[in-house]
Formats: sequence, structure tokens, C-alpha cells
Amino acid sequence: MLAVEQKEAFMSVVETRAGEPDSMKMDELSIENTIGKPLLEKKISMHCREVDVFYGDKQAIFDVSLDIGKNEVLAMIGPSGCGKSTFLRCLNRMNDTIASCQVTGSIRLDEEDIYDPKRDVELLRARVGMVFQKPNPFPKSIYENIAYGPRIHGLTRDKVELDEIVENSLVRAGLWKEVKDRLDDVGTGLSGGQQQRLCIARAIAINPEVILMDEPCSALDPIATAVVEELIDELRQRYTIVIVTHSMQQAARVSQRTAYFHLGRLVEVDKTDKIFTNPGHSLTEAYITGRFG
Amino acid sequence: MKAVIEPGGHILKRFDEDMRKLQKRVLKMARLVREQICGLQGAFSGKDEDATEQVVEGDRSVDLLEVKVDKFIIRLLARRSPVGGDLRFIVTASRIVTDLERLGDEAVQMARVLEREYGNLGECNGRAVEDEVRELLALLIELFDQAMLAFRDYDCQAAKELAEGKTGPDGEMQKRMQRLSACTLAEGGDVSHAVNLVLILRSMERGLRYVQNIGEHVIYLATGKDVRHKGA
Repeated sequence: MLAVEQKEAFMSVVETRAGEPDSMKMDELSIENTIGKPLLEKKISMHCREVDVFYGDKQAIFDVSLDIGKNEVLAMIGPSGCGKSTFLRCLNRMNDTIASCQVTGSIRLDEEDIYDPKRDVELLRARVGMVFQKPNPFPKSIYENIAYGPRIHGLTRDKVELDEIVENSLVRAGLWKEVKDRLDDVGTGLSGGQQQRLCIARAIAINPEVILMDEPCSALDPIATAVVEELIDELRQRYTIVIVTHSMQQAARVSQRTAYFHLGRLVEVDKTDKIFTNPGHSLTEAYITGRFG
Repeated sequence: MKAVIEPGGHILKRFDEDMRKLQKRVLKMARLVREQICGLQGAFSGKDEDATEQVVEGDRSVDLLEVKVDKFIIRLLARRSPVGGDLRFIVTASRIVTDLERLGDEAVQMARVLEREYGNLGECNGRAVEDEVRELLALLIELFDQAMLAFRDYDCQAAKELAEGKTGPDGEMQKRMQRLSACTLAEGGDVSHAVNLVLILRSMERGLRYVQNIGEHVIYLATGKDVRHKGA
């Protein structure tokens, strides 16, 4: 039979430990960078090693090493200020526009160092496109929003080819049926969700390999968000997508792998299923379950 | 660094309250099932004439609570979108509730057998079968308590021992059940007694399996590893 004290413990079950203050003290947890499970070389689209980012004297990213797989959606999550957007912007040198920003380490796109001084940054940004938090179509027609990129990059020889690119891009962005009869209307006149899909169409019009998305649905309603998420899933067949999101559910829905950032460090990167059911690090667990943020 | 995070500590305090409620309800259900098994012990002692009826009656409360907990779990899933340890806790609670309800049903099965036989199940090796069964129930209660304490305390080690059948009471139960089973076959006495004893042993075996299942669920809760159908 049970020992008396054990029996008493069982009978006092209603005094459970649930709801007591969390015994885990965040400041006692060490934060170490991880690289996650390495991907096969042929499956890697972007290869980042020992990346540090400084804004003046302040270091924002610490020694981040991460592989981004071809045709995968990689979600980057973490509390505000953890460095996920900063890291995202390193992937197509958007940080070059900030004078005080300095990036060290190595970031390669198909074996080519993207920070090579000889690299054409415009060409890099054509290969690594970006979609921002707030839809930002040009104040031009829907047609011109898409046609602008292919035209300046010299991707077309004539109007017929350009028309084809515009149509294909809008089809892939799931917008063609909605706008095909009003291509001359101004892009800023579309709804928020349509504007964001127009920006995605604009990004894919120049045939990128990687698309970076910085909270692409944060300004959209749930229906428009669902449409964009469905689009992300379709785009994965052709492109590599890296998405920064504050929505845990969105990361869980759209990505194959998830990276968790904390205080400028990459704490954990793993399959999304694993991160959201059984994360390897306490900090990830605490963040995704809403214990701090 | 990996540490098990327990149900509390959410920024949303109402989530903490919900998780605490869920844990309490599962443990309350465990207490009701335990009372059924204890009541069954009383019934086999022959001292309490109403005991079998109470075991059957008790099952209604267990069934009602199962429905209530299930409903609560569905609400939690819909409203909180749990992930990580929270998700595992809720899934574990759901699985345990199912096993508890089945354990309660087995207690009812045993009570019904006893009702039919008016408390006389014959003898085995010169001892009343009722005494043997009562001692088996005591071992089952001991294991059951260990399982529910493992759930309450996230005690993976205790859960592993349970799931693997490596605890003292588990081995003892297996030994005694085999002995009783062999005794029935060897002595070739009253067929009715033998059939009833087989029914009781089958329920006892299932009961033991449900308790071991709870151990497996706690391993999932604590580690994220699903060891069902694999052995822990």
C-alpha cells in the first residue's frame, strides 16, 4: 500500500502547482547561438556564417550562423528588438542604406558572397526580393507597378514580353482575376490585401530566387492574411521565402522551419512542427507559449 | 538548455487559470475513479453490501466529468491555440481522461461480476479468491496513485518505470494474476467461478494497462516523445 505521506500528497491533489509563479528565471538561462541541423549543401539557398551586425557601437546581431534551404519557408520569430528584422535585411543588403550599420561575417547566395565589394547590389536585390510590413505600391498604375522592375533590369525585349511578365506575376500573386480589367487603375486604390499581393507580384516580376517578407500581414485583416498565406505556400514551389512574423500561428501555418531569435542571438532553429510542439530551448518554449515577449 | 515549463507563468493570467482548472478536473476525475476502485475493494471484502452499487453509481459521475473535461479541452484549444508544453499538457490531459473513464468502466465490470456471484468466487490454493482480488486491487491503487502523482509532478522517471512495468507493485500484480489464472485452470472446479474469475482478471489486466498508459502520457508531457506501442 501507499506510504502515508504519498497518500496525503495524492489526496491534496487539488492544491496543484499550476498557476504558481513560474520557477524558471529567464536571467539564469544562458543564451547560446545555435546553427540547427545542417542542411545538405545542394539544398541550401543562402548560407550565413558568424554574422554580426552593429549600429554604431551597439551590437544588434551576435554571431548568427544559419542555412536557408531552397524552396522552403523559413519563419523568424522572437520578441520585439531581438534582431530578426535586422538579420532579414542583411540578406539583401538593405542595411547598406543605414550609414552607421556594419555587417561582418559571411552571407552567401548560391556560393557567392553577397557582401563582396564588387557585387552589384541592385542585381542582388533583384535576386533577393523584399516585401515590407506595410504595402507600398508605387503611385502608378497596377500595370506599371509590375512592369517597372523588369524594364529597368532589362528583362524584356518588347511590349509583348512585358505584358506576359505582368500577367504571369499577377497570376502567381493570385491577383490577376481581380485586376485584369483595370490594369490602368492606380495601385494605391486597391484594398490593403490586394496592395500587398501587388507588392508580392512586383517582387516576383524580376524572377528572384529568394523573397524576404518582413511582417507582410501585420496590416491586413484575417481574410486578406489567409489569402497571402495561401499565396506564400504556392510561391514556395518556385522561390525560397524568409518571413519575419510576430504571429506564432502564422509561423506555424506557413513555414517548414522556424528560427527563434532572442537579444540578437539565434537561440534555436528547427522544423516548425518541432518548435511548436517540443522546442529544444526553454527560451523558445517560454516565448511561444506566451510566458514573456 | 531545456527545462520543463509547468502550466503557470503565462502573461495571460486567464490562461494560467484555465490550465489550473484543467489539471484540477483531471485530478478530480482520478479521485473519483480511485474511489470506485477502493469501493470495489470494500465490495470484495464482503463487509459493505452496498459497495458494488456505489461503484456502479460512481461511474456516472466519472462519465459526466469526462464529458465536461472534454468540452473544456475543446474550448481551450479553440481559444488559446496552445503550443509547446501547453499543447502537450492539454493533449496529455485529454488522453488521461479517456484512460480514467475506461478504468472506471473496468471497475464497474468487476462489480457486476461480484453482484452476480453474491460475493462468492470460490477458492484458490486454499484462499478465498475474493481475498486475492482485494490484494490485487490494493496493488492497482498503489500503481494508480504513482501514475497520477507522476502526472501532477511531471515526474518522467516515475512515469517511465510505470510504462515499462518496472515498479514493484506492477511485477507483483503480474505474478499474482498469473498464479490466479493458473489456479483456475488447474483446479477445474465450478465453471461459473472460473468464468467469473477470468472476467475479473481480464478487467484487472486492462486496468493495469490503463495505468501504464498514463505513465506513457506523462512521458510525452515531460519529453515530447510518444512511446505508445513502442515500450518506454
